[in-house]
Amino acid sequence: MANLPLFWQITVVVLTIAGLIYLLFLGIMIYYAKEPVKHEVMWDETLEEGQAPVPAWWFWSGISAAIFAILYMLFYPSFGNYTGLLSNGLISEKYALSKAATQDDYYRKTEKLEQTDIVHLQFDAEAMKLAKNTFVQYCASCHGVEAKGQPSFPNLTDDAWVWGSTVDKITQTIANGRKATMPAWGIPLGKDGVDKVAKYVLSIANNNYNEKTHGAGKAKYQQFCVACHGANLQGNPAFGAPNLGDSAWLYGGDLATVKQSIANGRNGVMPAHKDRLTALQIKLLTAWLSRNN
Amino acid sequence: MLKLHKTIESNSALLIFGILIVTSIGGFVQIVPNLFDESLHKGTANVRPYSALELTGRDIYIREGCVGCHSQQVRPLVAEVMRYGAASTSGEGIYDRPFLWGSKRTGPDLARLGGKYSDKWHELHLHNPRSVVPQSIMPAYPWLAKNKVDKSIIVAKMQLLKKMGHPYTDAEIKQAKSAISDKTELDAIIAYLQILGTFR
Ligand code: HEC
Ligand code: HEC
Ligand code: HEC
Repeated sequence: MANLPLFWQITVVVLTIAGLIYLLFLGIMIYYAKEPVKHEVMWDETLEEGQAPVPAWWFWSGISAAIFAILYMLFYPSFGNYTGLLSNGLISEKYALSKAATQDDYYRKTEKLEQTDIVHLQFDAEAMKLAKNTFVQYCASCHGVEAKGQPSFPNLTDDAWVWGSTVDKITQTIANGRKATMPAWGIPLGKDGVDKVAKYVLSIANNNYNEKTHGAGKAKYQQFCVACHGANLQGNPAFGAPNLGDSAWLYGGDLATVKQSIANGRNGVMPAHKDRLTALQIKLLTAWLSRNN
Repeated sequence: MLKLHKTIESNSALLIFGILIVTSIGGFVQIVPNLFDESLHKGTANVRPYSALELTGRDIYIREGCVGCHSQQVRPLVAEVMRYGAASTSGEGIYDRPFLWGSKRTGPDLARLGGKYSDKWHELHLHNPRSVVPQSIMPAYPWLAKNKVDKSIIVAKMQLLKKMGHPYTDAEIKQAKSAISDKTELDAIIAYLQILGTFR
């Protein structure tokens, strides 16, 4: 608000002060108009019309309002570039717009938490509570309140880490986000091919591989899928290809869903959070997520 | 003075006129000087007019009444900045016509939504909010994915905005129809949601 041209600054100041002076003048004038002024009309013998002075409470509220206005203008941004006596403590832009300052307020011991290493944070119950709150606020709509995931969004409490389980990798996942690309294989494999390779993948996951029924699917797997998911279906954290041989499924482990994953491809996106969270918040989250590793 | 008082009080037309003058001085001091404050009209470094698809999505946002439950303004208060992100500024909204600041928050503020979720999440959430947020009371919008966008009015819409000072190029307006052909209403509204708050 503080960028008005000089002419308008002066206009505002002059009109505001003139208004205040007029209010005071009016109040005082009415206060001293003690004598009721009678008008000529007289109704019904005794009923008079005229002007009486205002009641005292009314007069004093008017004066208090004027005094309040003057104090308000003194303490808060009012005229032109004047920012007010309270501007450094209350709603200054500095305080409201700086994330670091606001968070200091919430994570009271910012500095202490910043200096504590991850392992010790994991044993600090209060820090873990802060981390959980942060998770619920920023991550739960996708990963669920307990971080147990839901279809399309991975469970973060199990041992299956698609993008790596080290502190470094998890920090990177949260800060920069991750984009997984599983191409669509419906056309190159054909309907029958998708069915065969899906059954092969599930046979490994469910531990009932049988050369006779699953051999053809295995051949297709070797041709199309090893590059990313690996010879033993173990996956590859370099580009987020999940392990297909375990019981953890991102999209679902029933035949229909696995076939859908293969035929149509998948594009899981974990959004980058480095502009939304401070380094400390990311550290707390990493500590919380890796506490069972 | 008291005589003047009596004259005004006993002539209602004069009284109405006087009230109008006095109150308009207040309005004048509050409103008019701001029209001359350059800093309130200058765009931020990243602000740009909405693309054809985003503009279409914005109109669907208006049509579905999202503004009745979602505000789009982060006030400069500690709790809000912590929850939603940096406070909103006037420069971000110079191409918002009409503005969608809203005043009702049944759901969260959306002013800093862009990039917070993936397209996939919005798709699931708009189809049925309970599928990703079990306690959600937001209504489902399953028809968005089925309806193709109405492309018959996009050119006229952009031409009108251009007249009002939105710097669309002729090429943009010419390609507007093809830019949104084959898109569903869901595509359009997600494109709009994903740029909210990125004009900072
Ligand atoms: C270019 C590398 C690449 C190739 C080749 C590839 N995938 Fe994938 N696959 C991925 C990635 C990355 C994901 C994770 C997708 C996501 O997170 O959205 C994935 C996910 C999957 C899933 C879903 C897993 C789950 O947890 O729900 C299945 C099933 C799958 N792939 C099977 C296959 C099969 C079968 C083939 C061969 C026909 C194959 N993939 C080839 C990269 C690849
Ligand atoms: C828009 C929804 C969304 C939000 C919000 C979100 N995530 Fe994710 N996250 C995902 C998806 C989807 C994946 C899987 C990416 C893939 O397909 O590989 C993922 C993956 C991850 C992984 C890697 C898991 C692995 O197995 O390697 C971690 C760690 C993670 N998220 C943590 C977080 C944290 C912490 C937050 C909150 C700051 C968060 N996520 C917010 C959607 C989200
Ligand atoms: C009846 C009120 C209501 C209406 C109407 C409504 N919403 Fe919501 N919305 C909510 C509530 C409550 C939540 C919080 C729970 C949730 O995430 O589903 C929410 C959450 C959201 C979120 C997630 C925000 C975040 O930061 O987590 C988005 C995005 C959203 N709504 C978009 C929309 C859009 C787009 C429309 C219009 C098509 C819409 N909403 C209409 C009530 C509403």
